Amino acid sequence: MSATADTAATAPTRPAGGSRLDRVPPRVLSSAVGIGVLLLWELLARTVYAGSYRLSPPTAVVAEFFEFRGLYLRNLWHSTKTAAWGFLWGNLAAIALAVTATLVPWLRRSIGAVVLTVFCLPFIAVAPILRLITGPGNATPIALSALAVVFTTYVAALLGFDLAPGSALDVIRSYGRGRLTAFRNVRVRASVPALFAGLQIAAPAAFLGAVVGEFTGAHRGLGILTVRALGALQTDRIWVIAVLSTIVATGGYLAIGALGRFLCPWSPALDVGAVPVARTEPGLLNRLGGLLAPIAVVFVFWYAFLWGFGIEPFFAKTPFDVWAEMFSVPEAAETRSIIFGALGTTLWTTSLGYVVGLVGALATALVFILVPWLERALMPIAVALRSIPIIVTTPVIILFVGRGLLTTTAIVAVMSFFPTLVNCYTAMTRTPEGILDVLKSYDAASLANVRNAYLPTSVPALLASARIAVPTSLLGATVAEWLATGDGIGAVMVTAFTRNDFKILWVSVAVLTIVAVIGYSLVAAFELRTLERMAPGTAR
Amino acid sequence: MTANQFSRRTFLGGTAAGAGLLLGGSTLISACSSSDPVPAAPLTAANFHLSWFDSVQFGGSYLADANGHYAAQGLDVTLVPGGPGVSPDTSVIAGQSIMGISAANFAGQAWADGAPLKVVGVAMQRNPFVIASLTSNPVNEPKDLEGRRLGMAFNNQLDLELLSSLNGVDVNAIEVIQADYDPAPLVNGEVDCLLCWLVDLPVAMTVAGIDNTTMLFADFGYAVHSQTYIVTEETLANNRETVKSLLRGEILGWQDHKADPDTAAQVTVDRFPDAGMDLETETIKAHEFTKLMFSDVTDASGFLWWTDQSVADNIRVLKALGVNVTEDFWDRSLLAEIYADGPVLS
Repeated sequence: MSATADTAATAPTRPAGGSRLDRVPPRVLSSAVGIGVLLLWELLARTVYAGSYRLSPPTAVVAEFFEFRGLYLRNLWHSTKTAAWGFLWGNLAAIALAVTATLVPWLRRSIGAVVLTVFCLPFIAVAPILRLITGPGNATPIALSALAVVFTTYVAALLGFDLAPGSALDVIRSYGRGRLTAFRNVRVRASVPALFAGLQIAAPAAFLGAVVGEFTGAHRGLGILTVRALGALQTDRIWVIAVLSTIVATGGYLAIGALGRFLCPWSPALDVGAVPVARTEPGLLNRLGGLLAPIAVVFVFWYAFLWGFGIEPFFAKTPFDVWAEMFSVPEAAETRSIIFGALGTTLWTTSLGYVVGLVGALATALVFILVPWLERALMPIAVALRSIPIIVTTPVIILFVGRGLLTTTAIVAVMSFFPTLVNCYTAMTRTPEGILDVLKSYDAASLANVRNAYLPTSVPALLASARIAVPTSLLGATVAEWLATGDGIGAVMVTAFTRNDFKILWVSVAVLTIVAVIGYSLVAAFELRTLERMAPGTAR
Repeated sequence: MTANQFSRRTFLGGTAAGAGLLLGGSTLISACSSSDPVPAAPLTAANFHLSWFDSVQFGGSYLADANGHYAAQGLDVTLVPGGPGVSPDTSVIAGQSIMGISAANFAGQAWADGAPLKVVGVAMQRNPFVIASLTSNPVNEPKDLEGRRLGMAFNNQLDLELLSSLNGVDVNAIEVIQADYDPAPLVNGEVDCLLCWLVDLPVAMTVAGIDNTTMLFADFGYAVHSQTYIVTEETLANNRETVKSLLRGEILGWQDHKADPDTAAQVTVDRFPDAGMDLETETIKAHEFTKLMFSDVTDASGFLWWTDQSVADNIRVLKALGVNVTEDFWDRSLLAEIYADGPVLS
């Protein structure tokens, strides 16, 4: 049994607070905050940023939307449709893989490795390579958007299948029925809450994939409209697009959450970011096999990809080509210095943002626990903000921190902050009442609650969020380097691509993917150790 | 369409699942793409990969389509849009497009790396790179860049270094700040000047009523062919006539563009209602592009033509950019055949 299943069974508890604001309905509080933000926004845009081509006042944004509503709705519809196709294909693939991994356990590790690798591939380098395969049309945006959702949905679906109650599985087994029956009758039903939590995260990710995909050539879509508007000094237009993307991505997130609750009203929604990592089997041989088999599978897929799509040798680089490019050709030293120099910049800015985001999220979650009215006012906004695509966030962050190394750090921090905040806070609210009662009976103050109850209960969620945040942070960093700063490995990849330098491109992709996989695995190993120490047997 | 493309199609058609999905996606799109009513004679399908999103920069091609010049050449041309995340060179090398629009430095790099590309036409007689500045604080010559903050895409570092070395400018005295596709940093005073295209951000500023000054790279020794038409050697060997037909259609379209840039702008704006283009802006651009694309050379020898002298200049400048090409990268024989009867087609 997993820790998440146990906590899921516990009804969420809110700590009792004393403020009078606690009696105000959450909707009223959030609305008040929302209106306050809008007023401040309008005021700033009309005063400090007036005539600056940076910040448009909300009134102008609304006016611009209504004046060109046909244009906006057609482009929005196109991008949303693309994202929906990607969402459909990506999730179907993820669920099929999770089903396979559940029914054929010895395949699980290899499938997991391939799916993780795909998740760690840098988007901005994959897009042009996909375009090469699919040719003109909408296939590349759809494929990108599908790739963006596969990993999170796979993890969620797998967790869901694993969460099937052992007793029910025992009953099936005692009737002499096999895995397939168990799967059909027990696991599918048990997977609904976790699966929908995964699908919720997938919705905004699919949208981001669709918009990045448009950059590889399309006639319409919000991504293209953004680039056009930037070049034409149409600030109002950029803000309309930002607001529309936010509404659509948040709407998708909330709608899927609602559907999940409708289909499965008996269970509180789970958060996929808070899923503990799977435990490795003991034994050196198992561990070695566990390490080598996935690497072998990734290499097989690499070759199959190049061969299957008949990619011209000018573009197609095999693992050996990449190795040669880095270590044996005459220019290898130069290549290494370019790649690792840029990687150093990226890793430095990314890890700073990563740590700031995680620590900030944990601190904010604690503040929310201790000051409940603040949570009720701001949490709905945080839930909405976590689904905003990074393409939309980037111009806003540039507005406040400019274009420099700090931009990447800020974007990464924002990307890791919101999911971690939501996960940690949710975990804290599930702190067992018993612990809090004991602390209360000892007359312990709130700070003791924090140390003894809330922090420990949030550790699994924090670690799980930290793990998922490794690849997403690197994704955010490379996109930021592309769009805003022109530094780091993101810039190297874009430069390589525009100059048709496919050697550097493949080396960058390989190195960055390996770094992401290693980072992910390190956090996963740390997570496993910590969970084992805190509560032996809770890690799966 | 090249033989290469057919083999790819056949392969994808015979593959299950993933490939089927991709193929399904592209079929879906080709069904929705705009095309004229089907004429009696069967037309040869040809993809022509443009170098950017739909833009009046390709006004002559849209006119060639709208005025039936492609169809008259027996072609059903799909004008494939580009973007910041796609390179027309790769599309051409991979056989997805019979012809593409690139620049001599990008396609030249691929050629130097062994990609069998050939330049068969040069649309922009002068390179469109400029340094744009506010008229109140102008950059009139390269020397003015020293001590100034320059906003540019990081991709253009080599171009800046080259302009500097050609004109004795200390490149280290220029403070470079990343800025892309966006005049706002200049207007807001975050930078003193921008490296961009003549027919892009400066026009946006002009339309917004902001006085600006432009310094054309081409006026200071930066001779790099831009908006060059590229094909593969394989296409030239096996599909020479199709390429010539496509070039003829292009030339006829651009002759129409030169005669009436206003109509080119109108046709572009009408063709892409989802792009949110502004007719006034596009009309200014159409006139500016006409100036870049027609010169004494094209008057004497025809649209897309280039001189041996310009090839020599390109080879020299590209070498300084780290791109080593020879005369073999250019092939003027198709244009010579097309213009056998004079520099204007009818």
